[in-house]
Amino acid sequence: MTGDPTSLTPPPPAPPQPEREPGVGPGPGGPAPVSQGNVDRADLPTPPQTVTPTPPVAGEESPLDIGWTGVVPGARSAYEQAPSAPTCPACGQGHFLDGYCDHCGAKEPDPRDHIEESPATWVGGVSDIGRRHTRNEDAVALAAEPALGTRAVLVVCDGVSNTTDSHIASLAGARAARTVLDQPLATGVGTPEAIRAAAVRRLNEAVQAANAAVIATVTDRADPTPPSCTFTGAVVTGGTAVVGNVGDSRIYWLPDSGDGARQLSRDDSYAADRIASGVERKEAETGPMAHSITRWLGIDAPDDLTPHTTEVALDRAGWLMLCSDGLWNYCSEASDLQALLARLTGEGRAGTPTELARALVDFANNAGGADNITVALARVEQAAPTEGDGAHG
Amino acid sequence: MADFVAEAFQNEFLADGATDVHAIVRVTATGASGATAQSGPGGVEVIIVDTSGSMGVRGIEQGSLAATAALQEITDGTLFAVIAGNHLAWQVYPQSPVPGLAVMNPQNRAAAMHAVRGFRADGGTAMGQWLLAARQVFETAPPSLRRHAILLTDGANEHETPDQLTWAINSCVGVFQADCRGVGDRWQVDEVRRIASALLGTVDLIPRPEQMAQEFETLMRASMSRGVANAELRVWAPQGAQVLFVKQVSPTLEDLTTRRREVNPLTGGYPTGAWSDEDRDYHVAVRLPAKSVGQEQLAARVQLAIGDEVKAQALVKAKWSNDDALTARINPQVAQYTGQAELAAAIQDGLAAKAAGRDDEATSKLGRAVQLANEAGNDEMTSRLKKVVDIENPETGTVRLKKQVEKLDEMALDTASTKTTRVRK
Repeated sequence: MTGDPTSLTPPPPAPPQPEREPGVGPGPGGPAPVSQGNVDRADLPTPPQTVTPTPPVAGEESPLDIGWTGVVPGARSAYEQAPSAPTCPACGQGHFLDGYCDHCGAKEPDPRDHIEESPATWVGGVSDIGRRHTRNEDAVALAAEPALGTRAVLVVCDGVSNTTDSHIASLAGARAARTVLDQPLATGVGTPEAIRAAAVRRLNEAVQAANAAVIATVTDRADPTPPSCTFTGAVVTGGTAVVGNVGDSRIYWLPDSGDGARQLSRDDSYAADRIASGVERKEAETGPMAHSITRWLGIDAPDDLTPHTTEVALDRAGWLMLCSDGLWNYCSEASDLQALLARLTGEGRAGTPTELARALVDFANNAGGADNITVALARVEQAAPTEGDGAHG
Repeated sequence: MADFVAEAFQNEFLADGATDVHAIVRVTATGASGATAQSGPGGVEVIIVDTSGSMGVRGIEQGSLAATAALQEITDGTLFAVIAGNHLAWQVYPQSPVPGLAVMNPQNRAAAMHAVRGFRADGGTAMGQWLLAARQVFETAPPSLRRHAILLTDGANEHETPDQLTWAINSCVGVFQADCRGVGDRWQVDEVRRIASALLGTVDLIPRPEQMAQEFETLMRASMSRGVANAELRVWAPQGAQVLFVKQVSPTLEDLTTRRREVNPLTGGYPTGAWSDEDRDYHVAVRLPAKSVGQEQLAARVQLAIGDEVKAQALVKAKWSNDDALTARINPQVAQYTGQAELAAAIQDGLAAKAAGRDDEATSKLGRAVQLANEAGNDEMTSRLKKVVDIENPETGTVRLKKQVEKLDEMALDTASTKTTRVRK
């Protein structure tokens, strides 16, 4: 793993992937750590790289270490030591004096307001504050191996907006889940069934770890609205994705064309209950209490946090997408999302998964940006390599 | 050392498309009193007393007593002078053929008190001459010292043109501060206010000559307590914004907008004069290009600076919202000071119209003043207004001009109009 993705300290230049030598590092049957966490931060400068950060070891982070606690002190000093202060992105002329630009008065962007992750060329995600909210309570945490289609972990959590510090909770939860999902699966004999069962077990563990991390962010035990968030996670391995969710953030499988676009997750929401009872989707998703969720992570979570899990064969070119309701509020049906992706791709906005995620965030913002918007994408090509005899559906 | 704190009171939420941001910035000084903040000579004090013929024997006698009372308040080590004025001006103390100052000590105080007993009532009134004489005296002192004058007059400025007075006032701006007092009812409030306002001082009415000594003592004691010579209010506004106005709104109303000096292209400096341990409120209004709902930006940085050192800063913000509950609220400080400024303008315009014989306009303006004072629960102003108009209905502002008005009552209303009631947090 590389550095803390939201740290203001930039990641070191991506080192060439070292060739594995026999006897050094894990062998073919051993753990296969997944590289992750290169963060795209277009609005931050690149301070001089005088120190090469020592990558923390996976699994050594405590939930508190990875919780968002505002500006990281160490990172701030790196920021201040920068030879030239950063230029205001709004006017391109001023500098930030006291949280505001000294030329145009624009508010200094909080790094938490817009987070991008691009762990591999085929996996990327963006989490954005949107237009109406005062902070970004969504979170994204990704990990992927470099080779297309080999192995990736995607997590999106949406902090519940009327709870305390849910922006800290969602990020802590997402990262804790990623840490768990990022461990190699104990696939036993390696049959598709064994891989699927191992992934489902891992998703359950990830939910528990995320829940513990969210609870660890509680600062006031008597808080009537303790921090809480949703969970969506996906493990892509070989030609299969195993996914799970708690709450109303979603996972879609969106082939580039043809039938088969579908929502994989199952909302734990009042709206979903109404749809199940026969109400039209559109009516339910825009009606009263459409955004009330019936399950969430946190100290006041319901007892049963078993995620809804399912798997999908990634047997065609397309996108596996995780997103918060900040996106699907403006485009809910899988087929509509498929068409939206086709349009954005046609406009040349799918250069990388992160670029496409940014385009989807722009789409939601242009539609009103009423909520935080988070999108995580994994690209699937037709000739997905199979690893461990990946499932064929 | 003096410490300053600045805090902003405002509703930062703007409705979609709104552009104007209003804030009251309260600046509080501590450790600024003369005793603690001063080192070396405390400052320069010049006492200017009207010795025109209209002062008469009684007025001159009381003028001497007032000058004496002020001299007794000037602390040892302070540089000082006394100027007597009619249609000319001359330096009564220290007696010398060229402008100059004396250092206060027991001998010089006794000598100065002896000198002011020699005042004679004679000649006319040309306050511009007095100011120019005072300026020459002040300019013999180091510019870093706090410079303050007390000016006393009893009559209108009849022996020079308004332009001459204006020129004299302008030449003194930034050289010294002046608290101005008019005794009796034959002086012009607007004329003397013009001097006090430009020279960062106060204007007030002394109804009877016997009250002068007490007033001079109070004024000089207040001046002695000011340990910070010159502070500047600075207002930064973003590129593309327009500073609509900058007003001191407490303890008195003073529009500083036109006194801007450019600190840098985005920052204006406004003079505030000397400070004691006190707080003052400023109303700053900035017009911004509207941004979209959800956006936030800084509308102004309001700072208190001494020399080039910024001692305190308050931030004025703007956040666009489509939540009416947030955007419709008017900050209570902004609302009350806006109302008090409107009240002052209504009184002054009404009295000016009345003096010019435009009774309809006077009735309408003073009626509006009655209405505003009533809405604000400003009983003191209402009772002052009652001496000038008969109030039929305070809620609608229906009034009649009184047939018989004491000139002093009218002048008291005029001078009181710019004194504001402090709005607490």
